[in-house]
Amino acid sequence: MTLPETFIFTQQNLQDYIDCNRRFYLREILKLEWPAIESEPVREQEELILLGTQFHLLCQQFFLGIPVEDLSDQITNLELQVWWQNFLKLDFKSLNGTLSSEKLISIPFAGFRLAAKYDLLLRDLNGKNFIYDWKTSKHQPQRKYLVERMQSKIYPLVISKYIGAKRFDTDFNPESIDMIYWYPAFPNTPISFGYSKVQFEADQTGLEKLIYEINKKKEPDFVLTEREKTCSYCRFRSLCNRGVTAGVSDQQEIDFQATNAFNFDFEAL
Amino acid sequence: MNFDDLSPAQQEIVRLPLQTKVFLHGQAGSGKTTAAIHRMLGLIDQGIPAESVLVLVPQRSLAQGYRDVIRTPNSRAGGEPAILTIGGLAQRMIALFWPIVAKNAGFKNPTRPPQFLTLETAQYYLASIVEPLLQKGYFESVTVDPNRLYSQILDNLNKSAVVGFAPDEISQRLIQAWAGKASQSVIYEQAQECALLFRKLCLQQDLLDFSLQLSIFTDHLWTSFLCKKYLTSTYRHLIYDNAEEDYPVAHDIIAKWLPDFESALILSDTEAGFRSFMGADPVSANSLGDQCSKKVEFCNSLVKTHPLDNLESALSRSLIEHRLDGHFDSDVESSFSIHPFRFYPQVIDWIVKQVSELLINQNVTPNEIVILTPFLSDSLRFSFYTRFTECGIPINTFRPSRSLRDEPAVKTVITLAKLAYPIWALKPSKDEVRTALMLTITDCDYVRADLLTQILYSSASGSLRSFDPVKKEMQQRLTYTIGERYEKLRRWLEQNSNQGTLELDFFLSKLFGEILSQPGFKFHENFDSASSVNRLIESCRKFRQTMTDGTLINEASISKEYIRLVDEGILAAQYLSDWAGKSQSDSVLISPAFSFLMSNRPAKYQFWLDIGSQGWWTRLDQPLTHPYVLNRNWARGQLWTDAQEYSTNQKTLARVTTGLIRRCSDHIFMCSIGINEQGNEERGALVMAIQTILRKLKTTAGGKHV
Repeated sequence: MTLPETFIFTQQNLQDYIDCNRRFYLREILKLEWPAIESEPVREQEELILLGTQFHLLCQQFFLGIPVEDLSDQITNLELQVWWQNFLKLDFKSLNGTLSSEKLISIPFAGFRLAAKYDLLLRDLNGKNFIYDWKTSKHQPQRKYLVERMQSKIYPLVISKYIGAKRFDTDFNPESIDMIYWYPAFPNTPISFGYSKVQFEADQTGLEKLIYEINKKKEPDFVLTEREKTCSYCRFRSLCNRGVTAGVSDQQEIDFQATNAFNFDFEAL
Repeated sequence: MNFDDLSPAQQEIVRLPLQTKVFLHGQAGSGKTTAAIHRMLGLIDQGIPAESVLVLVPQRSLAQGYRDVIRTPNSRAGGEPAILTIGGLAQRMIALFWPIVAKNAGFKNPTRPPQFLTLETAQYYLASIVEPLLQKGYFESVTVDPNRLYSQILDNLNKSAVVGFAPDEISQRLIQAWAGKASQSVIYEQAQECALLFRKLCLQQDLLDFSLQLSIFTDHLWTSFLCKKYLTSTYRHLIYDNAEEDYPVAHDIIAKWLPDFESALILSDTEAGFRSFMGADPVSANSLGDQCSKKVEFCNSLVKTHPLDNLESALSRSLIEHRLDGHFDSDVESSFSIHPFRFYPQVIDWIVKQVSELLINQNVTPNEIVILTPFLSDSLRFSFYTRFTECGIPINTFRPSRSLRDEPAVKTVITLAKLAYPIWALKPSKDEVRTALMLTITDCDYVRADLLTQILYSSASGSLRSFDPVKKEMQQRLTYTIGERYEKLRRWLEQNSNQGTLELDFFLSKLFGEILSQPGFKFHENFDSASSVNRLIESCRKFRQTMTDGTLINEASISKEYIRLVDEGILAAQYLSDWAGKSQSDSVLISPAFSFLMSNRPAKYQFWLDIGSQGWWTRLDQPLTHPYVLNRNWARGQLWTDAQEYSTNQKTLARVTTGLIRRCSDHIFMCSIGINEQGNEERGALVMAIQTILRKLKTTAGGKHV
């Protein structure tokens, strides 16, 4: 199988591939709409997604310069109010540097494009680059879990290559990049990662290999995952004969990128 | 296409100095969009941040070429140009700047988030206003389906927003142009009253339909310092394609915005404006040319042949002047052929055979062929689908307003929901239950589904009985396997009925995932059914989320209300199909002519179906509104007469045929049908105009056409 030239790789679809080759095939290549419930409790999941959407919007509005009082007036949910106050304590207004919020960047990579959407990019006066990602889940995962996520590999890589290309600087130093997962519900324990040239090269090689592998595969090669527990949290479980009811997710992190308001197709309305 | 493959005129556009504002006009197929795409790439190659480029189009389908090119690996690293419609831009800005605009825009609860209404939720809220008025005798003299009544009232509001006049002027404008009986003025006034009541409700409950979104953007956001600063600093370069298909208010905004852009390229097709019934205004689009420092015209078509060029001219003259005087080039004969048939099935069989011939013997690829019709009905689509599938030819259809509630999968899940919730007292009929069982249970044919329904469905209580007590002989006849599957479904419905509190969209998702898409049930591996149910669930979820935030009905009644409104045709009646991507697939396209024109792509061969149909000519009957009167170019006080109706329809048809021919590069097969789908004989304006050409051909060159 050869993917269309306009196919865009993202942390979400590559994570799908890692979790289950078949899911990637169904979701990204067949673009199959399969309206089963992903995980339970479904109402709580929906509420959390809506709350996450509102929080991301508030942050973006904040960086656009809308007065804080006007934004605070919009909040009626108590939990969101706490998150918002925690965010304000980060005091981004007093930081010196360049800020960009909700920024989409894509790079040519392994014969396709690789894209990342950043909640906040901050470049301070010392030339240090910080990638902030707002994580609005109610549980904070272990650092080890985040290290292995595709997002932790792709976000620093894309920004490194972008800055390098922008400055025509092939020797751009990835060590100037920090990735910070910030949880408004756990404001004092952000999980941050430094980046390095070694990591950059390892990620680049690994991702190139992964994309090459995907593009080379034929339909039957997109096999079901061997970790059947994954299927409890996958909407395609009935199609794959891997169970009936959705699993109860208490620890699993909701991947906000999948439901982000700014991935929402405004024009479709 | 590489830069070197571009024509000199196109290369000149790409190479224009950075700080240039150009108005590029010319006929469809002259290479304007290709030039603009290369201009966009050229800007990015010069180091302009891609995200500072705004590509504005009147309809999403017109932007496919831009989307595809920026997603190729050849594009530079960076952001993406914003590809938007003016409506999309308005909605995006409202979402971002709501906290500073809501109060000034007159919303009663400015601290609540905005509720963007879809067409169907707007119709729902409007229905809540209009239904009591209908009881009082409003719109008594109008024979029109309530849905069409609601859509025309909303259309009036949309026209006021896109043309740029106050909603309280709607009836006055319509009455001034009305040349018929005076009693019609009451209808126009009632339509306006409903529109104004709807607007009031929107302001009270923070609801935003399309018209209000656009008005807020033009009246409040565009004038807000913060929003304007954001827009003018974010977007520094403009590419505005098919400006002639956009609204005058969009042109007004661009006219004001233009001085702030560093560069601009505005593209306009001549002899177009196909969306004029939606408010498109080629006249105001052309006025943008006066604000550009340079005007360029692309005169030559890169698509059509000389004979097709002559056909375009002959058909246009024949439609507008009803005769073909003067010079007439007989090479037109090779550009088209007429194929008469008595009945519809004959023409469908012939087209399929002809398409096979083109694909097999002439090495044509499927996406070089389009079959065009004024309207695409379900039965016609099905007939083509069946015959093409038998021949192994892939097809694809554009049908932008396909009715979701008519999809069998949607009807099935709604019937099952009614069975699960007897508390709603919406008992399904035996017919509905039989169809639902037949479409749900694997191996359950019509006879078995009918037996199950007769024996096990109580229409009095609206519930299903257990399979177990059924006599053994009957169980054997129905088969134990089907009995087991039936029981699984029944028990699941009963169990979830007992829960009773699950929101309808969640209920449908569970039903789909836990039963219908499991092995033993027919939605398993049925991707079309899955897609239809998915869209129903999305519609249902949007309805619930809008209603939960509103105050019209209590939360417990939302599911029942949704089903009732689907049954009445108010909800799930329309949705926009996703055209993106489909147009590129390697398949024969079957499409209404208008949808094809809005996909901005040429085809080598076109089949025009039923050229005698009045559908090519007649505009929709809209007793509550008027697209040409609620228009900026209409002189107020003038009467809309039959002569104007006739002349406008002729001009519109000439525009459509011109647009189609300009998107054809080889040959048009024109099919006439003696008896149409409804069993009538028609001789519409298109066939008459073609006959004029045939008569002329006969006198000039002894033409071979029938």
